[in-house]
Amino acid sequence: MASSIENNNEKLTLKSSDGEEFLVEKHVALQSTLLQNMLDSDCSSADVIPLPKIDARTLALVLGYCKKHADASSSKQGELNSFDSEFLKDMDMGALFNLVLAANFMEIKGLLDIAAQKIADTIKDKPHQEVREIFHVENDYTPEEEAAVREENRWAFEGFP
Amino acid sequence: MEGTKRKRKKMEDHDVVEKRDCLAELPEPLLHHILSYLTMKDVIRTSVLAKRWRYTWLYVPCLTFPALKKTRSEEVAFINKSLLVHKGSKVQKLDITFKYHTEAGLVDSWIQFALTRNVNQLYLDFRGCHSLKSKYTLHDTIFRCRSLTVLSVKRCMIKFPVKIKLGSLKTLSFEEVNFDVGAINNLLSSCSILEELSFTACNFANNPDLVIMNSGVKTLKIREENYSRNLTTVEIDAPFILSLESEGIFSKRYVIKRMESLRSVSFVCSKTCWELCSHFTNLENLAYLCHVKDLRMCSCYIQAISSTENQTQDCREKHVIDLISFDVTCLWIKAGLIKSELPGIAYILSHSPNVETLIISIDKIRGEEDTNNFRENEYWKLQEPKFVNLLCNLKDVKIYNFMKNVRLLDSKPMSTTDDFLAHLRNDMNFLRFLLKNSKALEKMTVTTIKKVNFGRNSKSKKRMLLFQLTQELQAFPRASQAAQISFN
Repeated sequence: MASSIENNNEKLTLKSSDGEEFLVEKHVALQSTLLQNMLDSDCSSADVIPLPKIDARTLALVLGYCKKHADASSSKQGELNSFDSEFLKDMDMGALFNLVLAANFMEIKGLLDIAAQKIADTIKDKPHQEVREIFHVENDYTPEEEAAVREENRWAFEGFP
Repeated sequence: MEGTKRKRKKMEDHDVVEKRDCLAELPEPLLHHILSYLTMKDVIRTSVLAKRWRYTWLYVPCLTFPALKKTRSEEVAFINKSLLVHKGSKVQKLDITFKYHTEAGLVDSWIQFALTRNVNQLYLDFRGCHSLKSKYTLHDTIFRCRSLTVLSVKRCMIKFPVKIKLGSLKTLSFEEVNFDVGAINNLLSSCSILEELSFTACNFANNPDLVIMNSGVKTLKIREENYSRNLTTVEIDAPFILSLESEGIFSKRYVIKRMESLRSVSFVCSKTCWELCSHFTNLENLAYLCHVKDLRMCSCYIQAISSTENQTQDCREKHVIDLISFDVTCLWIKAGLIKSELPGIAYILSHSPNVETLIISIDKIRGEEDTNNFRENEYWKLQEPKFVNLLCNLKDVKIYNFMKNVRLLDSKPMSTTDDFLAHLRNDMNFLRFLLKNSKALEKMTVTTIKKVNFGRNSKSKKRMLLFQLTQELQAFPRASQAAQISFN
């Protein structure tokens, strides 16, 4: 029993792209398949693990998610579900994309799925003009080209302006 | 110096962030993953966003076609056209729901399309076809698809081929499908790594024995919605399954032949419980619940146990169920806490020494309305001597939908809080019993149902009622002084 508690308290250090260091309990870090694979191989937990693609703000969010999921027991699925839906609520698009990229890089499947779903929900059932605005997509079609593409895929645009 | 430079750069980055085209930065697999949550109609409409989006949709690996609000021929044309022009070499998921009429040749070609692209997940739902003759018969090449990991088939005919090669299949689900004799068992024996199996409103009429000998199958789900008086009996022989979920109103009587490995069981009716839906409730199944850790059951099961408990004349059966002891640690019960359930609840609690978490979801149970007229007020008090050395491990009690039964009084706007209190007397007595006898209790959470109509001055009555109930709960004697009570 004592040894398992010790193991749980083992910590490692993650370093964000902007140089901030985060001390993380091992069982929290294990939510990430990337970190799990690193720890399984020769990587010693005394080393600082650099995450060059993830800034401090995003990493803090990611670790918050991991901590919640690592600490909750399996019987509290309902609680986790409501945590998940609160977690992304009111998040701006920039932060959400940073998060989805981080989850993808660190291989945190649960977080990747809820973030991807949230982005997809933003696109769903919206006219393309609105989607362009939300995601800052620059329209490089000429009006004629745009009309042609629309005509080509006419059957999918029914009911949309 | 270095520090301030970095800081300024960070600020600039932050400003850029607000205007950047986030979608353009995504690597293709990640973009495809996001698009996999959209239906094909939404995916195709991305083509008009900008030039680099023009052909994106032709390569997405997940294709979802839900039922469209269109005519049948338009629906078919939409699916057909989308698949014809698709250019990806790999299809991860093909999910089609549509109103089938007579397009067998087309559907065969869609399935062929998926199979040649090594499809992993195939979901097919043939809606709106009721006569047996005009139903689609599933193309049997599906059963030789080695890439398939998930197969879900709804509302069609299946003639299983003799040779089946589904070496990668992990999840298999059927809805409104009738099975030939022996076919399903043959199918199962050919799926070597199957993990999850589910039947919804299926008919095993000619083949009432379901044999699942695959050691990998962990979960069996059975759902039905049709009640018929001619109960057929289905025997289930599944020594390795860990989890059994059954839901609905059942037209068959299920007898568990072997299920020694069960760890998690859920017997829940989809609608309001009544005794006729006792599907798995024959008590010869009870012994298989011994090793279950996670047990969910609804009122009909509880009532079936109650009736056996009450039939003291039948000593043999009573003796058998008295000897059983359950390993359950998390117990979930949907019940109205009415007279015909109380012996069943008391039985389960007194035979489950390890229970740590007890969750009661209060439900309005049909059949008995005169809850006030019998002396159940005394019931739990009378049980106390039996529980002297029991409930030792119960730490967490959660009551949901408290006050659900109060709605019986909707028609009397003049009811006072005292009337409501009288109605909640039985429920409160149960809580009192739990508090008084659970020595290790850490937490009791009572959550009231949100929408209760208390008639005139509903809000202030509710506030008053909550206040009085909280006071009462806090004043109950507690076996565990550390127990926290929250009422909301």
